[in-house]
Amino acid sequence: MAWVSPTNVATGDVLTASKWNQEVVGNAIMGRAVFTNEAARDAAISSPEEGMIAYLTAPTVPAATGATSTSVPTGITTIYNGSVWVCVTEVGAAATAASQTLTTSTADLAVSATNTSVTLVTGTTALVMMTARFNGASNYGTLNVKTGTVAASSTGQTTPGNFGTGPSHVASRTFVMTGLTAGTNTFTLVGVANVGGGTFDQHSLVVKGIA
Amino acid sequence: MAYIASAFTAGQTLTAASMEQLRENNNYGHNVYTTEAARDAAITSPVEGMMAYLTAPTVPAATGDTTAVPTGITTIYNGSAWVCVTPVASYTSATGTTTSTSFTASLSGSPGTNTSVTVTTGTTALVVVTCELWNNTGGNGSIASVAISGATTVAAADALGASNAITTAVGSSRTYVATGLTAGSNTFTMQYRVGGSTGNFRYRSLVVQGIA
Repeated sequence: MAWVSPTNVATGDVLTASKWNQEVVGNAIMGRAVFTNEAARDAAISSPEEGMIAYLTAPTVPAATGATSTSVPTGITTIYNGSVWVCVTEVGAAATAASQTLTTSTADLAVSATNTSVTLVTGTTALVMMTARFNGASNYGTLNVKTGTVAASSTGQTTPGNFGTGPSHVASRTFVMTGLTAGTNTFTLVGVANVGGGTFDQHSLVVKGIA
Repeated sequence: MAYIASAFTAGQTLTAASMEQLRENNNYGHNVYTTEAARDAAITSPVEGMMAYLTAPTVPAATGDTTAVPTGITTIYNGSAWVCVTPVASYTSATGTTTSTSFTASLSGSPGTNTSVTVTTGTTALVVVTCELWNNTGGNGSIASVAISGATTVAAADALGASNAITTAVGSSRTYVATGLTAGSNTFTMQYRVGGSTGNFRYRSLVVQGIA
C-alpha cells in the first residue's frame, strides 16, 4: 500500500476502516513519508521538526557533473536536522580520462571542460569520498574538494603521485567536511601539482549528507 | 507537533487528538527522542529493526584537532544494541613521528591531538582510516592503523592499516568492516608504527559508523 498523505481529523469525524487502513496502518508499514519532490514534501509538512524522515521519488536538487559518469539517485532519503532536510543518500561523479595539465595553483579538475562535482542538500557537515590517480614522473599532486563557501583545506587533501619508474599511485580519502552552510551545496574536485605538468585521471567523488 | 508515542487501553476512546498524533508520528517516520536514556525509557523492550532518531545523543564522541560529532544521529536496534548508523569523524593535520616498531598512539614532535571516535556499534562497524605518511629511510614501512577499546579490545594490525615504504609523503587510505566487535560503546583510536628508522604521520583522519 503506497504512502497516502494523511488528512486532518476533527472531533465527530467517522473513523472508517479505509481511513484507518490507509492513513495509520498503511503509512506505518511504509515507515516514512513519501513524496515526489522537495516542494511536495514542504507543502505537506509545513512545520517540520528535527528527526523527521521523508523519501522523495523524484527529487529536484541532487545533481552531478562528470566526464565519464554521474550517479544521481532517482529516489533519496531526507532527514530534517532542525534547519534543513539533509539528503543522506550518496550522490557521485567520475571521470576516467586525464584532467587538464595541472599547475602549482589549485584549480577545478576538468576533463573535456567538464568538472567533477556533485550537488545536494546538506547540514553543516557532509561525508566526502574522493579518489584519483596522478600522472607525472617524479612528481605528485594534491587532490582536494571545495564548495561554494568552503575552500579546499588540509582536512580533505590526499596525495597521489608517481615517485619512481613504477606505476602511478592511486590515493583516496574519506572524511567529514565541516563548516558548511546548511542548504544546497556543490562539491567540486580540485587539484594542484607539486611542480607543473602532471594530470589526474581515474578520479571520482561521492558525497552524502549527515543527519 | 512533536513525536509522542502512547499506548491505548481496552475501552479507551480514540479521540481526534489521538488520531492527529498518530498522523503526526507517521510524518516523523521513526521515533524521535533527545538521548539514549529517553529512548531506552520509552522503548523498554525494543525489537530488531526499530529505528530511533536522537536529537542530543550522549555517546558519540571524538578526539582530534577537528572533530565531527553529529548533533543528531539515527540509531537502529539490531537485536542487541541500538547501533549508530550516522558517521562520526575526527581529523588532525599536524605531523607526528615515531621510531616504535609496535603500535602506539603517542607520537613525538608536535603531533596535535590523536584521532579517535567513540560510537555504539553492533558486532561490525564501517571504518575509514586515512593518513599521509613517509619514512626517513626508504624500504622501511610506516603504518597507521586502528585499535579498538571499550566494549571490545582489538589491537591495531598492519593488515588493516594505511602504509607507505618510501621517503616521499603519500596519502594512503583503507576502508574496511571491523568484525568480531562486542556490541556496545566502542572507541576506535589511530595508532602508528614503523618497520625501522623514523616514520612521519600527518593529515590523519578517521571515520566510523555502525552497521545495521
